[in-house]
Amino acid sequence: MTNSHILVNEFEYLEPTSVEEAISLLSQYGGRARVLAGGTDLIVQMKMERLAPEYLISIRRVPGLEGIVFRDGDMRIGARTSIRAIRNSPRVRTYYPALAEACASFSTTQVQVMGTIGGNLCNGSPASDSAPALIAFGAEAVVVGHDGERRLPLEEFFLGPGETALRGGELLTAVVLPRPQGSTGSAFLKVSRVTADIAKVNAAVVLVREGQCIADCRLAFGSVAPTPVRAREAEALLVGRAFNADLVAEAARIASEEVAPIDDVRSTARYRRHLVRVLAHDGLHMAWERAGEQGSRGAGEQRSKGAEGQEVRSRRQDFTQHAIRDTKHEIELTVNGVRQRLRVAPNELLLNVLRERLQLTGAKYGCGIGECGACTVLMDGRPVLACLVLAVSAHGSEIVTVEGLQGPDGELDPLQEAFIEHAALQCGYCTPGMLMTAKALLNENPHPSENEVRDYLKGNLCRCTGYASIVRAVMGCAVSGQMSEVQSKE
Amino acid sequence: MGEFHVLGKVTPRKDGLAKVTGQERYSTDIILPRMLHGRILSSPYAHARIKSIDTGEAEAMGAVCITFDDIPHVRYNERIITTPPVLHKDHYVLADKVRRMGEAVAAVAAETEALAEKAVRAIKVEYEPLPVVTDPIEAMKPGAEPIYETVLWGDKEIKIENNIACTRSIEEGDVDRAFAEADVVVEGTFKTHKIYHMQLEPKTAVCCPESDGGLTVWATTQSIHNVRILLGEIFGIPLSKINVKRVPIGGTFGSSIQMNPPIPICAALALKARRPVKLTLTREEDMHDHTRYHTQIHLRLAAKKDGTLTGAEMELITDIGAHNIQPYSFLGVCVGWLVSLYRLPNVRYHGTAVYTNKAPSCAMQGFGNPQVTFATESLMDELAERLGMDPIELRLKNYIGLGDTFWGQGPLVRSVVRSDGVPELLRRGAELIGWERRGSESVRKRVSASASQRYWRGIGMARGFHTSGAGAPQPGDVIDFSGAMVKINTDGSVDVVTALMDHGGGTLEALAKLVAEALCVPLDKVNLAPAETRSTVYDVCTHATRGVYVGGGAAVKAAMRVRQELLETAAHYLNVMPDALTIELDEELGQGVVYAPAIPERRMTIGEIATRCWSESWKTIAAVESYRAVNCPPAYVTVFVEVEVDTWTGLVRTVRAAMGSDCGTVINPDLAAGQLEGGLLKGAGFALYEDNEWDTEGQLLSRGYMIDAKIPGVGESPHLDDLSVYFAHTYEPSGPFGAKGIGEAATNPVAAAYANAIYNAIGIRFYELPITPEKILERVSESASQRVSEEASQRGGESARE
Repeated sequence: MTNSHILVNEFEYLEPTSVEEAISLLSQYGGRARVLAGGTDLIVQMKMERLAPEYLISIRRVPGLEGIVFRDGDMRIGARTSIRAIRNSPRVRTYYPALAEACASFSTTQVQVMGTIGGNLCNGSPASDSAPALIAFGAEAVVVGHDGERRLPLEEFFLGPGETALRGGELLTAVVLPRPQGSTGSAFLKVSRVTADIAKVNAAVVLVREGQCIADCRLAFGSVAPTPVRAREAEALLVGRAFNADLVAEAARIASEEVAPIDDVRSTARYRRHLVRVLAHDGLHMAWERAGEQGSRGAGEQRSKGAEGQEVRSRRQDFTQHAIRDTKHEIELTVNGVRQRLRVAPNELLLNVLRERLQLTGAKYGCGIGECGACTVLMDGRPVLACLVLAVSAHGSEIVTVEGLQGPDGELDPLQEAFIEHAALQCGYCTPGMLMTAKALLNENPHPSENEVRDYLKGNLCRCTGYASIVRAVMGCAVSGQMSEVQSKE
Repeated sequence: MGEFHVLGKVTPRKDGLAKVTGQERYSTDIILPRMLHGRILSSPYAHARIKSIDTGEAEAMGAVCITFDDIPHVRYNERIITTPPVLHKDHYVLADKVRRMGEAVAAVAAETEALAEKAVRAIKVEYEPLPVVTDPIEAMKPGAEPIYETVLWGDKEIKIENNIACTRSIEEGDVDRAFAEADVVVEGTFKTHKIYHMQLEPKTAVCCPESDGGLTVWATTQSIHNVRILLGEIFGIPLSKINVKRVPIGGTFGSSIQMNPPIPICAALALKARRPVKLTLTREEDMHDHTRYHTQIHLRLAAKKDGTLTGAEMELITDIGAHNIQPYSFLGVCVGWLVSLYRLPNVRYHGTAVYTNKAPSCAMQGFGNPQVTFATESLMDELAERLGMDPIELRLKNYIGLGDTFWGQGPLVRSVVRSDGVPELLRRGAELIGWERRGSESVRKRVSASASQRYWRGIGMARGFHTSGAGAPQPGDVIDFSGAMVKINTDGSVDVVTALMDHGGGTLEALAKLVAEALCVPLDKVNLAPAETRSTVYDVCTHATRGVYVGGGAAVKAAMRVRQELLETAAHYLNVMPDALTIELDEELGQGVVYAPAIPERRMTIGEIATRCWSESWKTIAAVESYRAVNCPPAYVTVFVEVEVDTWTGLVRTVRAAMGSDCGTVINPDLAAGQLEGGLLKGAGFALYEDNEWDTEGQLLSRGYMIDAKIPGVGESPHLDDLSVYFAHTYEPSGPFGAKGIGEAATNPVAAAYANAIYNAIGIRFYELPITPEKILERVSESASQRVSEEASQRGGESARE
């Protein structure tokens, strides 16, 4: 049996500082190397011992890979851009709503924060949530190798489960989405076992509306074939036809016959095929209505150049040479305001460093694979799953654990008080992770609605309380914060 | 009854501060000087003989290794809640033969976990794989591969035939006549699955060998004393030298009623290494280690036209997995769950527990009650429909309430119901959910009439209960007693020492409040002392919804003795007859005050009494009590739930829910509400979301990874405005200040309420859990095609007539 407490796999950790260097390392090590971005998939695969790379090439210090840029109407998303940044981008939400929805439906808040679009695509999962939306918008993958840059339609990027069109020595650097034409409407839909989960089936629909006619349309599905797939026959039926319920029903039926789902632990082939029909139906109606609503909101507005979420310059300091090849690495972390210098092996996890070396046992091991949220800590202000963070890649960052929530004189954070007041804990084992995630939420959004609280906390499991008291505590904290703000104005 | 000064009030829990600051130390957080890290070598086969084990290479790495040859060859049952003569024993510290995937074959301890992992992988084991038995029905067939040859039954070696671990039969009254004379008979076969507890803290032990040959143990357990007894029995160490510490536990839900496998393994490693060892299961190991009992229940109910139940027949088969963790008790209580819910004068029951090569089944919130109540309450709704009766009326007509004899947990646990909030629970729940909106016409017809409608709403309800402990007027085969020490300090503060565990529900918080109430001291003056086996009297285990009723009963018993001694001592100092004195809380002083109402100036605070005892009389006012409850009153719960079924996707949404509890005196309303809210979601997980399947090789489909073992998250819980919890206004005369239990009762009826609500929504009844979207869709399309063919044949008939 595997051991998800630790990373059993031993490897060398490399941190190139340019695309060229990354490519050269990739070609040098070939199949023995893997690119590390957010780690939410790669580290999990390594813990499950499905992958055992000898070299991890972290791209965290490679410039130019992060951010969303609009140029000539196209939108370019750097490969290291987090799922969360895409979801929160106002322009993505306006012009590519299905992509924003796909990113919002993604797993958990922590995975959205840590996970990157490039990582999600290179993982080659047939169940990727971002892929169908990107494919439906006609995205292209930008791949850089020794011979320079090449672009390919994203649907051609996927070859099979875990297999992509990346050749040896190539790095995915961005995806580019063309400007939506005319009255474009889009929708993303997903059915999963529970809210924070991989899809049983997901679907993205993008259509262009001209009056009562469907001028163009793309339907893409995930988790129903060895790769994310388009329903081309259904698309062909729809394009150029007047929109009506019978047509949609027929297209949905055809789509459900085009896919090739299988039985697995999440669902059955039969159910998946049926869902394709339902999701195609619902998605087409939704996208059609949205195209109508958006009406004239064409691409003109977005022609303005601009960039979002680019290169968030953290407070990280530059200590190290560009590639670290020692077996043990000297790292520096600021943990709850205290600087810590540590020597760590490449496969040491932040959670174990915090718990065992620094004896900060507040953050908990619950599942080891980023599914329960009990290990959540703040890293440079963002909620991350410490069980999936390599300590070496946390070098230079600022970590806050539950032990650091109290004020300098030991006064409780309002959130801690609210958890006590609302009896928002029972056994208390999930509480540190819950508090840190809720803290990140309130930092981002001091007055969240109930739905916003539910969405943000969707990946923090609590087996005791049924969550009602936890939601009440977070809401109560937000409300009392509001009160004191009002009072201070008076 | 009267007014309470602290019970019933919302008070912040004492352990809240430690829990929100990360200071609470769970077993997984214990770090000791010179501590080694343990790892288990778990079997990659579900059924195999171990031919040889070579630990040479692992030992060369500097690891301490143990195999079957290093452990005492003592067979035991991990759970010792039953008296020794009726205890089956089939378990060794390390496996003599592998009977489930992940079974511990050997173990190592090393300086770091990374080294321990390397060492454990260096151990070479030669296995002889055996045919794997995963289906309990197949397992009983002649020729099926035997999982055990023999086990111990008490001290006697008995043969295991056809993989049947044990059976139990009970017959009362004249069942055949009841069914022959019945106006209506309803029946069904109900299947429930082996779901996993998913307590967030994986099973853990830390063992420290002491210089006197003893052991100190920190471990995930619901019973520190039973761990001590078992370790003593296995390793032959006097109990006085084994000290098990009470450590907060990160959830358990029944998974640590028994002594967890890592505990004796860790003890064996520590004894051999002569150093402290910590052994924490990974999630993947933990998931292979324990589940809820699977059941297949065939239930028949007989009734008269007026709705009076006259008899029941139940045949139950349970898949217990690879080890016996007291299915004998399980089979006994399962009939109790049936006959204690409704008056059934004629009953026939047969239960069979079957070994398979899967994770061992153990108690999980309800110990069979959610399974049996799923069957009973589903059939009660079917019966109501057959009779054209309102389901609530049918239940009121038949339920076991005030003055009725109550079987509690089984045939030997009988008492009389003395507090009954059932009518209030039903009335109030019906109001809250809007019962009158529930469609009364035949639902099946409704769906047929309007096939184009996609979303259907339905309302369902179910009743349930759990016993408050397992106390009974006569000694039975279940051990159930508790104990506590209460001690007055010179400043008037109070130490309460008990071996009782708090799983997070606030059991110890409740004890503090009960003692504060009994002694009329402010709650903040009552301290819950850390506890360990050598300084506490025995408590069997926090299970069976007994913490407040039995553990609290023990604390109140000790507090009352202290109270009496306080009065007698004060009488001496005040020169007043003891019987003339009373105690009252003086809020201003923040002290309990003893005085004679007729001579109010003769008064002393509890602190003053204790101080004079200390300085003049040289004594401590304290009491230690052991306490056996002679009842186990039913903690009733009702669940009303409204669902919306998407008949295109099969998805079920909880629209709203109302959960009511009759727990007698409510000790802390917020914590009690938390039990109900948590119970609803755990019940919803059982009913709708959680699956835990094995392949034919005995491998979990999830492989132990949480990514494929989903439990409900906040997204599955109802919105705040859609969830009501409420309490009946009752007082249990036999309970501490009128209190009963609550915990497990909250989960027991939930699955049935969902099944009934789904039936009410779409006219399809589900007999197998979980009710997944896949199953719903399957049945919806079946009934749709049936409808089409019915309509076609109708049309055919009509045209023929033309």
